[in-house]
Amino acid sequence: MSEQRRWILVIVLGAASITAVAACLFDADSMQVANIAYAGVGYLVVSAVPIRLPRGDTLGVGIGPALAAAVLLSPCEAVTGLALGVVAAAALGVRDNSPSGLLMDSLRYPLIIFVVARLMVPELELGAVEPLGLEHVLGLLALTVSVLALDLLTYAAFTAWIDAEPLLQRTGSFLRLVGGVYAGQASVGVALAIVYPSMGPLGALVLLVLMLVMKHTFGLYLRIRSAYERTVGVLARLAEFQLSETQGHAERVASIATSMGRQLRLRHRSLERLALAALLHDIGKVGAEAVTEIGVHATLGARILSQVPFLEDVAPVVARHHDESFGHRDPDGLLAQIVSLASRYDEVRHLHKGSDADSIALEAVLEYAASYDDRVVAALRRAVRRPA
Amino acid sequence: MSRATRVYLASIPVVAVAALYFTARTHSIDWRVVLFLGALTFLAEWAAFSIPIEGSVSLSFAIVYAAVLLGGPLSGAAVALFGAVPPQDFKTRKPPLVMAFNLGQVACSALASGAVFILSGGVALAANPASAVQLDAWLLPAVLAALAYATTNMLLVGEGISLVAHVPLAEVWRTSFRSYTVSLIALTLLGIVLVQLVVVAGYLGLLLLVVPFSVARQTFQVYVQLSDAYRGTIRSLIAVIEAKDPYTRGHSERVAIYARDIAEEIGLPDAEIQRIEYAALLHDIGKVGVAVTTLLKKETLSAQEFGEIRLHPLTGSRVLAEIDFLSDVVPIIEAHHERLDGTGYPYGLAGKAVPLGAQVLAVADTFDAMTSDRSYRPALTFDDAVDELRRESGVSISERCVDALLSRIDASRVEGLSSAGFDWGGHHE
Repeated sequence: MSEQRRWILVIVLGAASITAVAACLFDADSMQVANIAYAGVGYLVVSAVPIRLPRGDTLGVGIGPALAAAVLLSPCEAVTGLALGVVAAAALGVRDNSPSGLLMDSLRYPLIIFVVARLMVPELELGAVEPLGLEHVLGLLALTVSVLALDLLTYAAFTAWIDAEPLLQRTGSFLRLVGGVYAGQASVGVALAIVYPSMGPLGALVLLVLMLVMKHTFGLYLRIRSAYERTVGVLARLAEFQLSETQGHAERVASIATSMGRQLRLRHRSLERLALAALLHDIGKVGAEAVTEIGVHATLGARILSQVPFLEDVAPVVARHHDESFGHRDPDGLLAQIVSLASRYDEVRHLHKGSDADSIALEAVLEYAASYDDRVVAALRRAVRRPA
Repeated sequence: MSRATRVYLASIPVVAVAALYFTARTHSIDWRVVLFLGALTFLAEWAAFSIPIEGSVSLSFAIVYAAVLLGGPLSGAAVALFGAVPPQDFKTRKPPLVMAFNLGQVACSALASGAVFILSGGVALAANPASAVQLDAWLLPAVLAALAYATTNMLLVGEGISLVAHVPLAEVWRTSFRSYTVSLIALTLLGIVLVQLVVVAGYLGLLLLVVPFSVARQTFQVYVQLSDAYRGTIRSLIAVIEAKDPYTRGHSERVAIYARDIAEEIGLPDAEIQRIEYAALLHDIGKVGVAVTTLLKKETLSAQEFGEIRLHPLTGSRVLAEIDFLSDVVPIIEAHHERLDGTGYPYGLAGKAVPLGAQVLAVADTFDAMTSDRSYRPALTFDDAVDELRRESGVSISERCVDALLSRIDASRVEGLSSAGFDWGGHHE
């Protein structure tokens, strides 16, 4: 399904790009082959080493060279050069898991540049070697911001559609993840356009290297981030190792708890803590052969986690997820309630089969939910009706 | 600090003040350059932007250099002073004499650079935008100016280091020459880009480089934090095993130390040492699949229980398989109970079929198992353990690794490691 949607987008974007390039070829007189090659090669150099996102998508982040080309070259030269660069980058990226992802990511540039360059760039004459007036500089900033916004929004919208996820949520998480690196690449791209007329290839080289170094740092960060998330997942599964009937419990609880947290409008940091606590709430069961006294594993789990830097702030939530009465006001108490209720729900839900299992399990759990905060109970109702 | 050192350090600021005084009589100062680039230098130093190469030029060189080209020697020196004493110097209580020396040496370097620039035909570019966009006209003076800055800086700082560390000046230069040169070239180019941005787009253009550098710094900081967090989760995996089998408390860490010793001693590359260390930390993770009663049993194990134990390297590799970050660590874990004579488990590999990393780990693991208490027997003495290792050396475990381990350890070190509690919160101050 999602792979299908992905290819639909690739085809639509590809057709639109080909149309744009074809429209340009009609007045081919105004185009110079050298300029087209610059745009293509610049794009290829920066985007050929794609950044791999946690979900497996790849990002070329070619916005830097794309912006430089939009400013320095005629719109048609820029569009044609970028389209060629995209095809070359996709050809090189075929070994990658998802060539369609790479294509979809990069096919947007010719189109964005086509739209923006027609609307805004003709006022700028950057090719001439002379100081710019303030209005030109502001024009450049406006151009940068619009390309940046179009780039991020279209990508977020496309991936939200592919994964059938709420647009706002995906845009938010996407912005938090890559907003900085896009803004940085865009700035360097405009800087390249500004220094190129007087410094030539030397200036371009310095700034292209800067772009690549930035991308590399970001790639390192993503790599360690995914290693971290997966290791936490492994940690969660360790506790279930011998208890085959609970396979996948931790991950389901994490998913339910996270959507409950969203219903309760928790902040980003609290959501992260909630997800970790939910994943790891039963970690203390690892030492237990049989089901021991209820609550002992919570204490043991908290003790394991409190020894670990960076997981220690999750420990108090894990420690309290079997409490009989929760503190209603403090944040840890609230998170513990969410984890506790989500975990009970998943245990009961797992016993039932059939299409109405969700609502049967919900009613069964809520009968014994008197000690929970009303808001938490309401959050579970909504979260279960509209699963994450 | 010796008397000669103090005299030297104190003399540089005096020279700088005199040089500033004489330059001020013949050159003017461009306050806009000082204001904008000074603020930028201060920010760069305050944010402690550093290039991850030992002995390299600091990033603020690019900004000071741009100020020299844009505003001449005096403006350059003023900008340099902004970055010479960052706030963290006060926090770390750097001696005032060293701070004064730093102020003096950056001022001297910037003045020398500016003087060379003007003498070789350059003009203050901010005041002459028309010639500023003609790069050919001032590229040669600009390169000479960069060389002048670097020479002055290397002379003054190199002599300071040489006096403090009692190393000949030539030696100081020799050790840092390469990284210094590489970073100098890169930052000179960056400085010229800065000049172009200011000349063409005005001071607003500086934003175009402030944004990416802030982003890069932010990303790098989060990266460092996450690397620590990652090590934390690795530790938590170990904590889980130790919660299950108290006899293994500290075992993983000690094995990691021995394994690192061996790997270093036989001259493996750094990346391989790192892999072996991770493998050593996690080698018993597969024991989650073994029942607690089996792990803690004092009597001889039944065939079925022993079968369970024999599976733990495989379970370990299965548990860790999905962490691609550890993909080259997993084979070491899987083979850490293989023996060179083919008597090991799970596959009964022999000789060269056992990966080198696993051979290293096997020696480290065997040795620590022998020198610590287990449910079924107390610890062997150090001498008995060494004898036992020697007996197996070249038969079931690698002779080279045994020799490497024995050359690194002695009874008191092993005693110290076994009794020392490991600090889980090692990354906290």
